[in-house]
Parts: sequence; structure tokens; C-alpha cells
Amino acid sequence: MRSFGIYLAGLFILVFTMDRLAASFLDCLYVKTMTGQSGGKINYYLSLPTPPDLLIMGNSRAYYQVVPDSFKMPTYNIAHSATDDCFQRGLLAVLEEKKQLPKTILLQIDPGQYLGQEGITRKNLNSVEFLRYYYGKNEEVTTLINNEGSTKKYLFYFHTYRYNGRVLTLLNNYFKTVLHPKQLQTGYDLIPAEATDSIYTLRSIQREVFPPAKFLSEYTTDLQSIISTCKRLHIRLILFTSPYFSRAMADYLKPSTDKIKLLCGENKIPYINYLELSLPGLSTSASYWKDPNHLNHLGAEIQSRDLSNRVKQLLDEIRP
Amino acid sequence: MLFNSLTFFLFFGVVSLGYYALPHRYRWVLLLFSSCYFYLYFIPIYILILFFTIGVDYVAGIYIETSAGTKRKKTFLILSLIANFGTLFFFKYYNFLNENITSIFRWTHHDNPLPYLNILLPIGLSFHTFQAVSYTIEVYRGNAKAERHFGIYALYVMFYPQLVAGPIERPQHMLHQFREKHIFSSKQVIGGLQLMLWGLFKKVAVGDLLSVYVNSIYDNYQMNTGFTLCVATWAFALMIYCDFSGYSDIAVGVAQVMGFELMTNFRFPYFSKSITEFWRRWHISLSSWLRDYLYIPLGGSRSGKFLSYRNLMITMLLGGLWHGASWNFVIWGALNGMYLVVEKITGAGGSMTPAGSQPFFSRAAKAFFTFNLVCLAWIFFRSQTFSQAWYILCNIFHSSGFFTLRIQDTGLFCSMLLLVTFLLSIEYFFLRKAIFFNPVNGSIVSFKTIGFSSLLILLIILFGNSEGGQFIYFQF
Repeated sequence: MRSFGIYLAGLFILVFTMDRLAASFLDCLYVKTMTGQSGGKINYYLSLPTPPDLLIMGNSRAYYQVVPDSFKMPTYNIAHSATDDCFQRGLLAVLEEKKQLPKTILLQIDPGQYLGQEGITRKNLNSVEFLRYYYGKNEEVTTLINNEGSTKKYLFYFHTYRYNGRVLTLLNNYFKTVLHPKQLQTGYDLIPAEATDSIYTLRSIQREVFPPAKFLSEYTTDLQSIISTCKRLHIRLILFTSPYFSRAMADYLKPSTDKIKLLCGENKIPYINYLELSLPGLSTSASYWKDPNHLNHLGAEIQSRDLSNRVKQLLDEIRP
Repeated sequence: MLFNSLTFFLFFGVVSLGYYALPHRYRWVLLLFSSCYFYLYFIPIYILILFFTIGVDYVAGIYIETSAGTKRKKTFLILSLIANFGTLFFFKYYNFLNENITSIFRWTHHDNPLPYLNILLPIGLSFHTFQAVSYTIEVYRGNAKAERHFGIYALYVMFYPQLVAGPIERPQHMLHQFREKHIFSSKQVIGGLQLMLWGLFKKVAVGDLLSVYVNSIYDNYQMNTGFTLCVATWAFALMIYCDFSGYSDIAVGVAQVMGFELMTNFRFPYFSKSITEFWRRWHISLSSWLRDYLYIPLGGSRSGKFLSYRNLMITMLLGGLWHGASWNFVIWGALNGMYLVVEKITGAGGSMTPAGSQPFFSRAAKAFFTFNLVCLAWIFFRSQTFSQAWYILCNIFHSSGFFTLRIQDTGLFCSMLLLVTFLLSIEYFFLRKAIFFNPVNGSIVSFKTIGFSSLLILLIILFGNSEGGQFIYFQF
């Protein structure tokens, strides 16, 4: 029994010490990292002397598809792959806390996230976990992460859990930052066009499946929270939905985009829906697409140019 | 209740504390109730099926032992086998058979009159069926005594650490352990906890990480070419090893904490230098079950070369089918059977030679070749359909775009490489020599053991997938 006690005590002390030491070391690296999605992009944005006029938020369909240089105003793309509205809500809370809010937010939304089946648990992306660094530091982020599961909070007793699954990416991004400390960034990363793109895209749409689903208004909680935060903080909010190559996908998402239009109308928020707008070549040529959901850099340039014109026009019309 | 969940660790803590706190005569009650509770966590109603087969086998065991004539003994054995395999067939193979009948009917432009049953497979059915069958067969053979205590017998089938995914135990090895009084031993408990940690590391940190990559490639197999498919298949081989052996390590560790000894299910199978050796190291409890209750009764290798090859093929085909009701599993079994037959013919299987008897590079080359043969068969195991497996197989060996490696997420890929290297190095340099987890070797409470346990916890926290799914073998 004595040996067991010694083992448990030793294990507790060593794990506690190693955890705190490793977390402090990773914290040091994290705050100095200014590139990459695992925190670097957010850090870079927060380090800007003044926030840009326009901030692009969203998931990979904004990150790789909206080129900030296309906009004729200071613009930064803070979008993060594999995220949903919950992440954007948490991120907005962080920006508010750090007093680094832009004048206008161009928020990309995927209408698919509001579709579901009643009685069936929503497929959760847990994307707010990309903001784990702010757990315990930002109230909204902490609450959103705790809402992900009843046992979640126990994992955060380990301070290193904030870097779960991201240690090597963090190291890589840290060294990139060290090697190129003064590099100016816009937050955008391109997906280079490749010869095989159209083959992949055309093959993929043959395998698309559309499970029966309908618009569920309870899924818009995070979006509604973002809208009210923007109103409270006097930030101009513009929503947009990126195009899909497949017509069938656009039809599938229509019930959702119709409801979003209504929601935007009620809140006087402009909504640019590329599922209903045609962009030259994008709906006909698969060579602009990496896959049916993502444009490569050639397609991204077309979408960004059009988006820039529309945003400029809207900003001239709307008032904060 | 999954072994990789917080709920399980609370459950385990409460049961283990309760086990040592209770007087010996009540411990079986605690274990039986906790095992029932553990099982009820999945699909509660299916516990009735479990108790049905337990009841049948309990009665059959006693009648087999007490019956005078061989014929009567055999009758009770057959009744028990019908009850067990009938249940297994109904839940696992009925719809598979029905689908095949439908295909034949469609071919002859007729309708299949048999209905499709919308039923879920009871969790761990294949495992506890095989364990129950081993009991009645061993009683019939006179190698084990029929258990008169219903609770102890029920526990033999339901003991929660190995209820849903083995190891598939034998009555001679397990039943007496439930009667023995286990006294708290620090060495045993610490060894068990270390084994659980190692299993958890394999499952949560390595296996679940590999599964993200494997799924991204296999679910979009048509978008990938040669080397990518090859790497994904290697990753799957390691993933299924980490998943299943991780489960087994946790099961053995949990039992060891309470003083029970379960059989070793894996002994570093990917260091095998032949397929024969691989099957002596992979899922040992199943391969030995198949050997003892199928291969040897079929005649084994006693009835001439040709018949021994046939027996081997039948054993491996049924072993494949045991894994799942799909032709892909049958092909997987057939491929492994063929490998074994070829090794028998050529004598390449050999015996498990000691490490120092061959040069390192020769051993490494043989192990790499064996690993790739195993991987070739794993393609059928992992693929959803035969056409998917065939496509992957053809494209792995296709020169077009062979050297394009699709990594998807560099961070994930590098983490995978790091953890796999760590895992294999630890297994090769330390575990093979029983440096860790062995209560007999050295002091169990040393900086080395505590340091290793702490490192595992830290790696699980840093790399583990907290959203990881259930163990693959639960579905079998």
C-alpha cells in the first residue's frame, strides 16, 4: 500500500510539474507566433497598431477564397478552416476584449450548418476549441467550450490541453515567425490551381449525398448572437455565402438561404448569396475548383473581385 | 461505456475500490452487478440475450458433466452450440445471408420472400459467444469442471474488462480466479495502471490520430493515388493495432488492478518475420481459439499435407467471417489463409527464432515484407466494398502519380510520424524486454516507472483525440 501511495503521489507531482512547465513553454511560443491558423493569424491581427477597416471571418471557404488585396481598403482575413458560427462568436468576443474591432465584418456563413433533423443531435464541429488558448482568459470562449460537453472542463485542469493536437503546428509556425519576423500578412492563403483539380471536382460531385434535413432556427443561436454583438458594438456586418460548384448542393441549401435572407432582412443586414449569383465561369468550369466546395486561387480571385465590388457598393449605402 | 471515456475511469475507480473494500465472499456480486451495469450502458435490452445464452450454457455444462453416455453429453453440447451460434447467426449473419439470397433471386428475376431485419448487433457478441462456447467444449472434453455457481459462471462470460472485445478466455484459466481471494498488491496494481495508461496512449494518442488521416484518404479514395493510398494503408495497419491492442492492454490492466490475470492478446505483431509468426502474435486469444476448436478438430496437420492446407484455409476463412458479415472479411481471411499455406509449402514460416540468430538487416527486411503482406490484406478489411478495395489495390501499384503524397494536414501528419516512431521504439527497445509493466522485474516504484507514466499522460493530453470514437473491435 505504501508503494502505491508513493507511486500515486510521485505521479501526481511529476505530471503536475511537467504539465505546468510544458504549458509555460508552449505559452511563450504561442504569444510570439504570428503565422498559421493555430493562433498565429489571430496574434498577428491583435498585434496590428490599428484594426483594419474590413475583417473577413468564416471557414475555409473564406480563408482560401477571399483575397484581402482585392478590397480597396485595409483588410485582413482572419478566417479559420473547419469552423462554424460558434467559433466566429468566440473570436468576436476575443476581439472585443482585446479592443481590436474592425469597422466592418464580412462574415462568410455556410447555410448547411442550419440544416438538421428534429430529434437528432446536431453534428458538432467543436470549432470553438480552436480558441482553447483563451479558455479561462475569455468568459465567452470559456462558456462556449464548457457547453461542448459536461466533462470538457476537467480536461482544462491540464494546462497543456490548450495545445492538444497542435504542438507540432505551433512549433512549425513559431519557427516560421522567427525566420520571417517582419513579414506583412493579409491572413489569406491560396490553394494553388493544379491540373488535376477539375478531375477531382467532377468525380466528387458524383459522390455527393444529401441527407434529408430542414432549416432549424435553434441552430442560428450563434449567428443571432454575432448579429446582436455587432449591433451593440456598432460594427457593420455583411454576410455572404461562397459558391458551390454543384447545382444540386445549391438547391439542397436553398431552404436555409431563404431563411437567412429573412433573418438578415429583419436585422437590416446585407446578405450576398453566391448560390444565387452567377460569377463568370465558376459554375461551368471545374478548373476553378479544388473540390466542389472550395475554389482554387484562380476561382478565388474571381470571387474576391466580385465580392469587393459588392462590398464597396454596400458600404456606400449602409450606415453603422 | 467506452474505455477511453471519463465515465469509464470513474466507474473503474469505484468498482476497484469497492472490490478491495468488500469481504471476499461478496466480491463476485459486485463484479457481476458492475459488469451488468457496464453492459447496460450500450443497448440495455440486449442483456436478456446475454443471460439467455448464459442460462443455456450453465445448464448444458452441468448436464454434460453429469450425463453418463457420450451420446447424451454430445446432445447437450450440440444444444449449447446451437443456442450460441444460432444467436450469433441471427444477429450477425442473417441480413448478410439475406442480401446474398436477394442477389441470387434478382439474378433469376424473382423476389426474395425473406424479410430484412432492422436489428443492431449486440455489442461484443462474437467475443462472448466464443468465450461461452469454449466453456461447454472444455467441459465436454473433460478439461474443465462444470461451474455450479450461476453467479460465477455468469461472471466468466460477463467480466466487464473483457466482455465486449476480449481477450477470449478459457474456463480453466478464468473460473478459478473468481474464487481466489485477491489481496491488494502495490506491484500488481501499479503494473495494471501502467498497462492501462499504455493502452490508452495507443488508442487515444496514436490510434485515433491515425484514424483521422486514414479516414480522410479511404473515404475519398478515388481522389488519391499510389503512395498516398500505400501510406494510408500502412497507417491503417498501425491504427487497427493501436486500437485493438490498446483495448486489450486496458482490459488486461483493469483486471490486473483487481488481481485477475487475463491472457496476453498481442505480442508486438508487426515485428514478425513471417505470417505464421504474425498470427502467433496478433489477436492471440482468437487465433488460439480457432486453432483449438476449429483447426485441430478438422484434422489439423495430422491428416496429410493437402488436408492440412484445406484445414488452414477453412479456419482462416471462418476467422475472417467472424470479424464481420461481409465478403471483404472473407477475402481478408482467404488472403491470410493463402499466405499461411504458401509459407507451409515453402517452409518460410519457420519458428519464432531468437532475435540474435539472424543479422539485423535480414530480420528487418523480413519484418518489412511481412508487414506489407499483412497490409495488402488489411485493404479488404478497411474498405467498405469490394470495388473500393480493388480500386485501392490497383491504384497502389499504378505508376501514374505514384509519388504524389497527399498529406492534408502537415501538423497531423508529423504528429502521426512522431507518435508512431515513439510507440514502435518503446515496444522494440523496452517492452519486448519487459522493462516496463512487469511486476517481477525490478522495483515498480522508481523514477523510471513514474517518469514513464507521467510522460504517457502528458502525451495523451498533448496529442490525444478527446473526440475519438469507439474501439473498432466493438463492432465485432
